[in-house]
Amino acid sequence: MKIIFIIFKKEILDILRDTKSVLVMLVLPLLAFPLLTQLVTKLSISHKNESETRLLKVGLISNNNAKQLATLLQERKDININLNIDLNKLNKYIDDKKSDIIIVVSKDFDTQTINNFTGNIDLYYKTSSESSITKNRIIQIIDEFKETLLNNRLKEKGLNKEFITPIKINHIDIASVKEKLGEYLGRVVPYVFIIFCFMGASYPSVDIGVGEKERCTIETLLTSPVNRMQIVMGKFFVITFTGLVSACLSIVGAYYAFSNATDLNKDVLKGLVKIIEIKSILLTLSLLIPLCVLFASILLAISIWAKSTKEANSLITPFNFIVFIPIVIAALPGVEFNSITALVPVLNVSLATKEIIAGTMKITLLIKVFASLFLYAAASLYFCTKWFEKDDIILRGI
Amino acid sequence: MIEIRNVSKGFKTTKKQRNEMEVPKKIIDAVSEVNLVCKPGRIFSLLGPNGAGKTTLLRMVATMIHPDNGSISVNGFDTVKESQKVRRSIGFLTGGTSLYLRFTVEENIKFFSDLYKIEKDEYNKRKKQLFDILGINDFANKKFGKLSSGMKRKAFIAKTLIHDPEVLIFDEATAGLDVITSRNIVSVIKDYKNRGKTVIFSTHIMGEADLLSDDLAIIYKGKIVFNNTFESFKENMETRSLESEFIKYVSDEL
Repeated sequence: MKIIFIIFKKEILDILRDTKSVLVMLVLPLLAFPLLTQLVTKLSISHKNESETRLLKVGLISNNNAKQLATLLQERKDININLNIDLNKLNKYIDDKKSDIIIVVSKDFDTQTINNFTGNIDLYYKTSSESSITKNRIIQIIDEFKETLLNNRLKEKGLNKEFITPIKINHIDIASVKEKLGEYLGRVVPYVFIIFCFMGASYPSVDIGVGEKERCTIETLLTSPVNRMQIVMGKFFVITFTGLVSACLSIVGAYYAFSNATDLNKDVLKGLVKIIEIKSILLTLSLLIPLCVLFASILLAISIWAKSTKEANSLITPFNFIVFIPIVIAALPGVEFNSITALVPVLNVSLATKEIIAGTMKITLLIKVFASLFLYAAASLYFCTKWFEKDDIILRGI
Repeated sequence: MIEIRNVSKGFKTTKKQRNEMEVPKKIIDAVSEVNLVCKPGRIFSLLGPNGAGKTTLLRMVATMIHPDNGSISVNGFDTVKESQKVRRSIGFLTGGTSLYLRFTVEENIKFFSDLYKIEKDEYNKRKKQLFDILGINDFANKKFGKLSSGMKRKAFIAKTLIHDPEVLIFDEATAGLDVITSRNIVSVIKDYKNRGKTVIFSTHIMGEADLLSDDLAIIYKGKIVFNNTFESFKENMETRSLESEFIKYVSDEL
């Protein structure tokens, strides 16, 4: 055991002295989420603010109808209205960005509305990230106009507003904030920690596996008085450890990003605090251990077999997709955590995390997840050690 | 003492290799039925051209790979059954191997001494001796990756000798080195011989064998074509120079 620890200590120190490894294993997982959320939030807020306040160029073809609407539009300081629009060149106005949106009031609008029929208004715009905000700003004004027309009609007929709303649906969602957030976070969190767990494990696995062959240190190690099992275990523990550290740091980063998200409302923040219970964190982390073991043994086996770093990377890259697919499947609607999905590696961790966060985890399924993961991990570790004992594998490419 | 008895080792070839080498066999014999004895207090030279099987044979002695047939014992320990005991008693220096680039020379030596379970006092004593003899003190705290090839080889020699091995195995250890570093290695080999240790070294340069050898074996295409004392090699020469005599043994026209 002492020899394994000596090898472990050496490998950790070696990896920590490699700037690239430190960036991939420690810095990236810790900062990725806070930086990404800050960037996305800042950009989307500034974009939203700009779209909501900027001066809109609105074209209006009123056909001498809906004068009240024209007045409402003209009164707005955030709208620059153009009344001289050629009906045949509507698309060109929008394409040339002379107008953001064009309102065309039907020729019979007044006649229709006076006679209590429906008047038509056409809105011309081009779909883009901004168009929905622009459209909503105009629809708000039209709705104001619509409300006035409707109130006039009801007043004329001596009716109150309830006349046109025979049914009112009241939505009472019995899911707690914790459950609602759990459903959402349960989809996001596995993305974060499983991906970073794999990434944190894959980089050192290449460095301390095939990297030893490339740097010609494997022969030096193999002729030292240690058996191959001790070497493989020392390396395996390092990869498992770095995978775990990366995953934990990504969770810390995600927690920091969420708890500092100023645009979250108080209910959401309260729910978040409830979710981040010690029990949930410990359970989630405990799921990570067998997953890291599984990743580490597979990655080390690949790395040992490879002739070069290039070959190892080209073999490991497809595994990113293999890991990614179950996480995506877990986020799909209708995919349930049951006794079958509890046996599928990665998918089971993703689904179990969702249940843990939502506080709806069934203990029998959790046991199944642990049992299956440990079984896969043990099998892959056994395979990895056998692999390491084969001369033609260990000396492949030397 | 190293005893190699009827040792053979074959390697699987890929289709590409078979096409390149124009060898139809799926397994090629790297070493075939080799018998050798390297005695303590004597320097044994294993001479052969590139690809003759020298490295494969020495890797088997160093327990890196196992023989397919036959057996090898080092200091009385079987290389397959008692590989860890064998590794504890050997020092293996090859031209193509390295130490950890991101570690200083001292950290590298300490790591390997920990693997050999050398006591702290003993380690400090041996480290001082080796660093003084090899002139390592000036760069002991520099990262191995930042050293010149000569410095690297000196550091590697220190690593090889830190546990004062009974058997020294040098595989093309002087290949590509300058005269001074080569001389360092040669002096280490001689010193070990004088201390009654077993030394085996492989080379493809006859001059090196001439300088050091007590016993000589010539290996060609995995088979031993000469095995005797260096004196008898010289006495029975049919050609004018050692080089020509060596070529005679490793030529297909024989």
